[in-house]
Amino acid sequence: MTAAMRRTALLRILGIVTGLAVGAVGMLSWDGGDLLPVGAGAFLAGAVVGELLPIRQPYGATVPMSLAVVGAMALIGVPPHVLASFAGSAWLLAAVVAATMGRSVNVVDLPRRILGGWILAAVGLLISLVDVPSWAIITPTSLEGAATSLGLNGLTTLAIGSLIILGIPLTEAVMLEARVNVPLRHRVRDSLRSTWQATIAIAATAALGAMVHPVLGAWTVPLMLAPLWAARVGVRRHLVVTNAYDQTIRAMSRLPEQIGSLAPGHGVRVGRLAIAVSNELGLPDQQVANVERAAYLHQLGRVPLEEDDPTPEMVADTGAGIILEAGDLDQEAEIVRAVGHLAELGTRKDPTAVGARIIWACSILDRYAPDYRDHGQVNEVLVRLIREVGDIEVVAALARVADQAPQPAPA
Amino acid sequence: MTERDATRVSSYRLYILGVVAAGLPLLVWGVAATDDPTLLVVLVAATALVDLFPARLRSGVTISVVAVVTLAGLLLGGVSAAVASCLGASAYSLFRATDRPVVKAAFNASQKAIAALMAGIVFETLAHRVDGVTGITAPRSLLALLVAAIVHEAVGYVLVVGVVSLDSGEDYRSVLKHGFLPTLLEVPYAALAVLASILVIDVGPQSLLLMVVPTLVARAGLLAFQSVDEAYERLVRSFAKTIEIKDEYTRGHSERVSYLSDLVAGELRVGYEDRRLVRYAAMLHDVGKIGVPLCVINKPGPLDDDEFQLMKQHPAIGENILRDIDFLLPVLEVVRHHHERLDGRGYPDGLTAQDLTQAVRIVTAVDAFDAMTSTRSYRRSMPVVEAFQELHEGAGTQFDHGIVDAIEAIVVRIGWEPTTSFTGDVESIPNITHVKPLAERHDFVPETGPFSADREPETAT
Repeated sequence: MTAAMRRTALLRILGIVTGLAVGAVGMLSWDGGDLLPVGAGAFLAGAVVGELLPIRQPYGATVPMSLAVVGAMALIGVPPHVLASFAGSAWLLAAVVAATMGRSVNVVDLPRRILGGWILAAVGLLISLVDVPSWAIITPTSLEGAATSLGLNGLTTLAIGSLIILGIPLTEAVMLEARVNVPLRHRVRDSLRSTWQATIAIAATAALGAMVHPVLGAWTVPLMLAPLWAARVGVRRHLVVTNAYDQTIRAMSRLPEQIGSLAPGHGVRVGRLAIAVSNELGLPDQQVANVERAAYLHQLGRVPLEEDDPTPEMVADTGAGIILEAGDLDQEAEIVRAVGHLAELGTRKDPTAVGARIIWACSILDRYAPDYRDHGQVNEVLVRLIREVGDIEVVAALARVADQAPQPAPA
Repeated sequence: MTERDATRVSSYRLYILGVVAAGLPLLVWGVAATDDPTLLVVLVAATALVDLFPARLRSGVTISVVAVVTLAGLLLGGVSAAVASCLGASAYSLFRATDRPVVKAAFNASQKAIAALMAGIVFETLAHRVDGVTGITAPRSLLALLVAAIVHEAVGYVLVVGVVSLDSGEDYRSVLKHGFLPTLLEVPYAALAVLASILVIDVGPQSLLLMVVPTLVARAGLLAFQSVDEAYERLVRSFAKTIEIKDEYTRGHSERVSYLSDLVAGELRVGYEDRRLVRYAAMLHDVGKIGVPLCVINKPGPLDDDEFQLMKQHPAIGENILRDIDFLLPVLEVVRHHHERLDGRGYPDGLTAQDLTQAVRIVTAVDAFDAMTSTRSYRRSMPVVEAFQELHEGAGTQFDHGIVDAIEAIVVRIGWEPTTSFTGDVESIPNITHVKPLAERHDFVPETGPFSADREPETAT
């Protein structure tokens, strides 16, 4: 058993034990109070459904819809240990349903849910101790004059909303091991960009739920989740078609391989190497995506060419022409064209030049040193690349990537 | 114009006039009978706003939340407020339509007012009196609102189907059946109307912002989807063109097969998503030919055994190229089996009728039809009549009878002629008579709402 496997197993055990323990303690220690006029069961059911229906923007982290229910409960004033157990229990129940449906379950999410629930409730509790001016408290008309503590504290809403919007991208940015060389602020920015729609919709829904629960009672959860569900439909359709788009570009990399001049899987391997090298160089998300697509398509120009061994310039120019015809891949076409004209790039450091050098270097490595474990062969290629690419940073990054790769990536 | 067409146009105009004549007095009544002028202004403005910014759920089906405002109007101000709110439903036509915007605006507002009235009557009958938040959230009111929402969608849909049917000359029942399910997509919006009403009554209109945020996110997602979806169509087309780039004889073949297969699928009432996949499958069915030597593909004469063996590999090569595209997984069987026959004598797997899906049968027959009616390196194109003779002779053994009939119906309708020039664009193929897209021909189909142009154009756009 490797260290990584041991770590994963330990995390799983820790997650399950923590979840069960916190869930049991929370549920047993809470008398329900007068804070939740609706049954906790309705909220729990909503949270379970929310866990099963996550929202995910293209290239972004998965954000569970259950966070809206947990956020609403934090705003209502549920104590931290109870909300932690609630979030953990909802996850466990959803995991059982997901496993029954044959869907994969990531156990590491359990401690994240528990911690997330605890933090949200604790922040809500702390701010409720602050003396908030009356204008910052929204009290529903139906409760005006009633002897109740219910009402939406504006400051708490702001704090919990901000936590929801910023918490997930921050966690993702810190945890993304593959992008460790990218400056943290860039990782946070990229992560925010790919989650903000989901998190802002969830934060608004949480506030909505907290606001209407005194009057809506058991109807709160289904009604508050209705607009959020609509948001999920929109975002999901975008995700599905974006994935299809990217997979189709990857499939197009197989076209030049079919005419026999390239090893099967060359395009896919170069794409994977290019992503790794781009991350190693700390390039921003969007640039990595452009380089990846261009890498898949860099040999497309071979398809219409009659010559058995066309020059790199011919392949690049023809390929760029085909890519431009697709209408939406201008940046990728520019990179592919530049791959065939490396000498003309000089010392340029713009995204096109850097992308072209990365793709050329990865392509040469895959063609002439396909087995990265053969250090002699790899070193020979690296020496050649220093001469051809003229960008020591790209070659050094490739060397590190090749060194870390245990074996050639399968096509 | 034939006498039949003239009668249809007269009926069409009469229908529009009838709907407007019924709807406009309703709108006037709605405005006059609404007691609260602030509520009236807010409802009309909200309807106009959501009407101006619809989102496309898929090609031909747009979603706007006009129904939410109408139903919220019903809860907050009664039937008159709901009807009056429909004044705002003319906004899109007035500000964005280029052709006869005033008539379109009048029709759209009128048909929505009629739908709102019917929904209102149903709601009042079932729920009796609704006062404040307690009244709205009573189970009886919620149930009544659900029924009212269904009635609202159904009435609006029936009115729009009338104009579509009269405009296109198609059978009313067939148009009615075609888009019924998409209309139900807006029924769950009744939940939003309840939420909005409670927020307005209990917290204040400013709290609606919280509801607007997820709705805007949904719209942003759908808009982004729309843009990537269009880009995806272009990408798949460019994928197919890349394959044909070397072979001038088959250039444009995939595009034509895709175009005709789409129409045939429509003729056979294939559902929207399946029809879309048929279009992609047809576009990519020959992708594996990239792995067959050009000298074999372009050989001017019959192939020998070895060459035929090479040619027979192209379906499997195509399947291999596309295997990792999750979205296109249903397309793989078409790519692999488009040379199979009903009698089991096809290749590569020798499948028989029971194993061949409708999508495979459509693409197989259309592929053969286009191949016969196109000039190839080894023969000149065949006249359409002769191609149909061949198809009919092969029906039952090679092709599906129903699909051959559907191809014939479509080909006659659009005036398909044999291909003797080679291009990758359907738009520039001279042999297809360009029929004005249906969406453009429906002058009075509202551009927003779930039913707008709820059909695919009948020609390439």
